[in-house]
Amino acid sequence: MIPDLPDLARMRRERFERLQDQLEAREIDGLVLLATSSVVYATGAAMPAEDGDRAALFRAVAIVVRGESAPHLYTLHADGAPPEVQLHGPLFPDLDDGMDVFAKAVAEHFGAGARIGVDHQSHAMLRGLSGYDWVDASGVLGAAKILKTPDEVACIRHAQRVNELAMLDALNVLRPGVRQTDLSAVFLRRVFELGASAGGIDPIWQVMAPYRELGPWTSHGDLAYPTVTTDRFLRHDDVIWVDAGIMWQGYASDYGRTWVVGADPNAAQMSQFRRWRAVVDACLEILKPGVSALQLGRVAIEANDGVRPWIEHFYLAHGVGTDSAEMPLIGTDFGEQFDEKLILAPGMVAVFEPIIWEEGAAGYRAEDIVAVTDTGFIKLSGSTYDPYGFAA
Amino acid sequence: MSPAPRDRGVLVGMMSLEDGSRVDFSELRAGRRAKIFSGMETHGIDALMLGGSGDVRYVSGARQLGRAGVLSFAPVAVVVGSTRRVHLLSTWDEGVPPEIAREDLYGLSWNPANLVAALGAIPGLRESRRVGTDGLTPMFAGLISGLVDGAQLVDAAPVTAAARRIKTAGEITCLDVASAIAESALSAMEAALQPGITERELLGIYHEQVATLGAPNPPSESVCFATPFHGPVRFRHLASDRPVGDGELVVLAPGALYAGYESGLARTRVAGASAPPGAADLASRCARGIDALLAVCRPGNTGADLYRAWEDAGNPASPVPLAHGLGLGAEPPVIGLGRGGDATLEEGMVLSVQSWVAAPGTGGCLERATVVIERGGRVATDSLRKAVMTSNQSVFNHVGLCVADRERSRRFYEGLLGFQFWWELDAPDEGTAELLQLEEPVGLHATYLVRDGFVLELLDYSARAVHAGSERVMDQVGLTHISLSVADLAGVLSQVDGFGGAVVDGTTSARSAMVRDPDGQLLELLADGWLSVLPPRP
Repeated sequence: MIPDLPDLARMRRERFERLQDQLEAREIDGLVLLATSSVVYATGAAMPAEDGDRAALFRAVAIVVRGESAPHLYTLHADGAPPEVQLHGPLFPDLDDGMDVFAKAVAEHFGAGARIGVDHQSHAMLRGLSGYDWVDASGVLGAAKILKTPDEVACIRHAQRVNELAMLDALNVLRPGVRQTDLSAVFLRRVFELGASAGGIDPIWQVMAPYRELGPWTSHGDLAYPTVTTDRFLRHDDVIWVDAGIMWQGYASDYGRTWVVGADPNAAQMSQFRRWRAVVDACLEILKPGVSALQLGRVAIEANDGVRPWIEHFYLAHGVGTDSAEMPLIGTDFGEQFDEKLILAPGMVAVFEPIIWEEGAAGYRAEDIVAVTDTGFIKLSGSTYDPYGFAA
Repeated sequence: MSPAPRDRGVLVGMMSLEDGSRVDFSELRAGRRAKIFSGMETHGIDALMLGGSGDVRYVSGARQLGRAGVLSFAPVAVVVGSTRRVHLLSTWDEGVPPEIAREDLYGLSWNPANLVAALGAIPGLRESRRVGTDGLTPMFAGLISGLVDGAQLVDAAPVTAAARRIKTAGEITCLDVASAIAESALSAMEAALQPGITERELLGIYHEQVATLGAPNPPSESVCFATPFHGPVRFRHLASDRPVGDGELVVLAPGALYAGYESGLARTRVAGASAPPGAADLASRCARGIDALLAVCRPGNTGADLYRAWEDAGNPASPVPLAHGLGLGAEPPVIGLGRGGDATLEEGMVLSVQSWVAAPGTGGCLERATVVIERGGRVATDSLRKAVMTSNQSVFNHVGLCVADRERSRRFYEGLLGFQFWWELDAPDEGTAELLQLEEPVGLHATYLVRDGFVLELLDYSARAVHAGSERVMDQVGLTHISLSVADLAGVLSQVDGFGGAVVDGTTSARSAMVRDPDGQLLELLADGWLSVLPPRP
């Protein structure tokens, strides 16, 4: 069902159909999209990874018109445009200078008073694009994105493979005296050699202090995670929680593992790992279409002897797609009622990332990615957890 | 660094200079905050809610997790004028500067209703009448309007973009460090460049080099592309898997971030031993283009001058921008693609400037430089490339001030008015005596202080006694006074005495005052609102 490698043209076509279906259902005339992940979803445009304000100033814009067969893409990066999109020059939505060009483009697609979904508005747009009924695009995007096509799932699986392979090289150089940024250097070089399309987030190699009290202060008293990588030296016996994500064909990977510096995991650490495995296994045991997010949370807590096995500001699991964390979000501050109504369905992808914490002995964290199928699930991430071993 | 680091492991990095002689980051952040609060007063904005990563970094100074791409608007930092506090979306204090207290943080939430509730608890925010944002979504427009009932949501850019446009000396230093990192990435890529290597491998080498230097977040992964001998030549952004051909021209265009500040450069190199036909001509066309652009990167010039310089160098309209601003990432203006003709270049702005030329049958050639806009122009990314001054131009050096007590004057100018020590020298009497028209022995000691591009030379003498002349008055022909704008006029005036100066009786108003420095030199102090009413500089 899930192809080894995606048919990218089919994937773009099916995604575009989902957007069209949502526009139809919600009686919205079209979309004007500015955030990177939504532009990628709507058009399939490849673009070089860029840091925040550069990505903003030179952003691509996607326009989707209800009833049309392909999206419009306004971009500086013409070399990343798929063949079927209608390609236009860049719009610079953050500048007043040239907003007349943007206004003309919108007017070419929509009549006065049209109801248009938008995911971000600059003040230049608020000033220069009047006469339309702007509504939030998040409803359309959220509903389309949450159920992945088989090709999308294949993209996530391939992104994950590339990510995991590059981590072998980083783990290989792990020893006392290596800096966090040295691990980033090895990982990033390798991941691009292996075919990553773009970087995602700055790789995280957070050293976990053995007690919560010795780690960074937090407003909720729970763990601080993830904190930003620095030139900190790693030392003997440090427990580090690794988290990295790269992009392949617009889809994010999500690699989470625990490593120990300069030593094999000791007995206490191995038992944390086994408990982590037991928590994820308990979730996977019941994972199939129809199960609710609340049920998944409950079995996870039960498998951890009644203690919630995830960090308060996070979740038991999250989705992944053109965003590194998207719906379904399981166990967040949306609350129990939300989780009860969130029913897992075929095509949803979930990254389970519980943590096992033991005061005085730090803890274990890893991430397992699964896609929900018609009858259960398939695993998209690998099954080695070095240096803790192997577990299916 | 967190306000009180509990995790002592974070201290274990290379602090290779022990005397704090590099960038004073707390001063850098304080300067940025002062500009923001002063801009909010000028524009009558009570609060800012910011989501753009550069804006958040600018007001908070916090290290944020590096991530590629741009997100929809969400309020990540909140600045409240009445309390003069900066609030940040962060569940922990690690990476948060000490001036942002723990109670100023609001935690990560996935549920927008919880986020809005946390924002509602920020002191002074609900009472705001005018709230500046750097973007909106229909959802947040509704949520924020509900939070600050009846408040007007306005554009934050007159405050944030205006503050960010002109760089302080500390910001320029960060840019210089970023330039050095980018140059190092260039040399790593040059060393690896040979026929058969792929763009993807070069991108990997780029990433490895900047991460090894401790700056793993690239401003852009568009860092190299080979250009073909045959067919049309296009500016490409995405790394391909195709091996680079022998003799192809390859664009190497690395950038780097340091403390959030971006710099970058580009050079074009031949892969292999022999260049394609026409390569020398193309390279010289490219060099003429960048030279022409850099020559007009002067205070007071406009984007139109760049367009004209590009055209006068014999080039057709460029398919890529000729220039854009740099700072905490890319910034306005964008000059090129029909935009930015009216943008005025001001002293202290930083631009990325590029010359892209192509010839079918040869390939393409790109040169890109990071340039600091100042009299004479300074190219941050290449110490070898000096902007040439034409013979009829002049460049400001300094204003000289003879002082009786160097230390006393330094305290006054540095402590009260925020001048920064630049350098000093003991001048040999030989030559100095003739130039200064003083009899030997002279014993001149010159101390150079800088503020906002203005250089003040303090002169004192170890071998001579200085003497006071008649007290200068404002209708006496000659230099009368130095005028400075200050963010907090009343606050500065209250400290003048303590720093050995004196406020001149009867001169103080809400907007201006005259003071004398410890030697009696007249200084005019103006409230900084003055700057905003001035016409653009010529």
